[in-house]
Amino acid sequence: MHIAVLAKVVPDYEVPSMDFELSNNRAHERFSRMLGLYDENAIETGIQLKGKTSSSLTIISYGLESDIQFLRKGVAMGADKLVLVKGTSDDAGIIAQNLKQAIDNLEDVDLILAGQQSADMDRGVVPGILAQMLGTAFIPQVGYIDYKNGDWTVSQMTATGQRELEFQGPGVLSITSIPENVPRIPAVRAIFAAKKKPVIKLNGIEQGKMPLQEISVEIPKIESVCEFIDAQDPNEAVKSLLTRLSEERYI
Amino acid sequence: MDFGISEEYMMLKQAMREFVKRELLPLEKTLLERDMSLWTEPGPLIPKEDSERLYAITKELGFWGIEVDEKFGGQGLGMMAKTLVMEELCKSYVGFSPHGFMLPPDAPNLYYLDACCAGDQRERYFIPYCNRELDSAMAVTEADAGSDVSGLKTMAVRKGDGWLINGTKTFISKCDKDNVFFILIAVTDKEASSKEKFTAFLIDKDHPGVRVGKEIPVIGAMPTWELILDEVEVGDNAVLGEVGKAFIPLQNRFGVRRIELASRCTGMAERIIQMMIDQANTRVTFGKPLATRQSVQNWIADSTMELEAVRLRLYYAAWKSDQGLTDLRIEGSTIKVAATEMLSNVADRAMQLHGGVGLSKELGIEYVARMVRIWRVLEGPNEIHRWTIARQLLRDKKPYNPFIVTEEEDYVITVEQD
Repeated sequence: MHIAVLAKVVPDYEVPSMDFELSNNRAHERFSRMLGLYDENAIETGIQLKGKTSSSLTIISYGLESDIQFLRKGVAMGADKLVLVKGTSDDAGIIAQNLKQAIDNLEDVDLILAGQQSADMDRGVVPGILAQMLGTAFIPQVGYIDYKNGDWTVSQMTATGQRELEFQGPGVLSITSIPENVPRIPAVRAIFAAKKKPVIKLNGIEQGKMPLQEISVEIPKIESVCEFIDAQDPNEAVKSLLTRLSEERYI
Repeated sequence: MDFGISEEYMMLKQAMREFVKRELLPLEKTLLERDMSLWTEPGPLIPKEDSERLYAITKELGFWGIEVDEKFGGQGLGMMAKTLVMEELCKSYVGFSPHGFMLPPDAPNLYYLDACCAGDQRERYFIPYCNRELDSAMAVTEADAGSDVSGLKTMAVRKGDGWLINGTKTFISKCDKDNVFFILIAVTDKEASSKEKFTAFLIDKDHPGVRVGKEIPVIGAMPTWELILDEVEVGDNAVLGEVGKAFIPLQNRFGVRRIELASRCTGMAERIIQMMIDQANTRVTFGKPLATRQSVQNWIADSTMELEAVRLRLYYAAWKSDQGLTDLRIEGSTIKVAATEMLSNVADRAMQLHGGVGLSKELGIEYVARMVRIWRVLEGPNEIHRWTIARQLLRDKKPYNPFIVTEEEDYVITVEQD
């Protein structure tokens, strides 16, 4: 069994949005880079499945060569190798096409996991497009995965409930965050072993571009205005708070 | 010169940073509250169940014995790796205080034991110590002998085939632990020079005649006790190292400790500077953020300059240790003084910048200020270290020479001759 996890290196997602700054319509270079938030959940899920099914695990990414140092964290967590398709496009179609190229190259991939959405663009569309290109099932917002006798059983977690689904053969699953897939901290020995694991670099292709143009990128300015609510009587304070929130159309 | 950091070291830092974020920062409130009630309710700064959980997690992650040789169950990664990990650990109040959470084994004692253990001491003390089955504490200081150990009065005299030890030690740590043994320094030849005068003994806490005296409250979390040795009889198998030769390995032990102490200070200073930056950017007075005030800017700039000057000296000392150079007396003294005084200054400025909140027990800067005040005395007062540095330079009649030529493979061309 061979599991692939798609991962993307993104600007530091812990920077408060009020401190965020753009340069050439993208995050300023001064922000440090790291593995995407949900991508780490997907890697953790992949590692757990690897243990249960005696699989091999490959991390696939589309991005810059300088991303390898950050992707290596996934290898230190427990992946066996890393594939980087070199490219700079933000077009979801091109990214999916390049990831497909990497998966085709590996030939024997049985399951593809991805983070629910990237921590920079927040689109969550690439796994779906990729599944369509590969002609496989696509299930978003997956929490739990089980494998028995060639059947995959997955739990789709939404804000309002949980749905059980089953499929056979290869599939693309986008992984959400659940308590069971909190990313592990890489152990010291695994950190030093990660550098010895193989890294495959592929040249990117410019196919699959979506018919759209980016006109502008803006980050909304967040203004904070503090308003005190008289809290002498808690019941009255709650009523006042709800009234104010309603007046401002927050609720 | 290469000032780059390897990818592995960076990942090591990030791994410890994540551990601190997940496990240590949530315990800070508990630690600060416990610190306030320490003298009316003695005990550990964080609950035992939390300590045990932290030990288990850090062991699994491989953070125990980062610099300790692999043959002793450590990672064998050297002092630079240890320094980077310590800096991250000490960005939390829990990791900053040795009485909060400390990564075992305590390497300075470990190396001292490794250098000196003989016979069955290795099985009785050294191996259980590496596995955290036993803990160790140095018992050197006495009422009339601190930095100047020549004033030690605890005597070990020959009695039959063994030794009879009498004396009272003070400021001895870990006396509340059940599994502790002491590395006790006693005078065995009071007429000899200091290099021949003292002998180290391994003494169990429950050995007949050993008694823990009163706890000594000080300005911060530094739980220490008096240790009374009343007619303590031990055999030759309690002698650690050679009779009369405790002094030299003891000095080497302190060198390693000082690198570790300095990394505690640089790690915490970085955190406090971050707190200063956050406060300066968010706190508004008289219609403007504190960040626009020149005094505040100077505090942040001066703190950063002082931190980075110390940090480079610290990394240099750690690097030198990793090159196998063991005489780190000047380096150890330099960073001990510079790091503790730097953090004292940084914490003081941070309290001033935060105003009343800075003085509060809730924020924790005052906890740091009290801890680092202890460290300007502990591990040799800073004045003794300045004396050590000056004495060496005056003896050498030359300024300090930091340059070490790195060894590189020669480019050799072999010429075949007929």
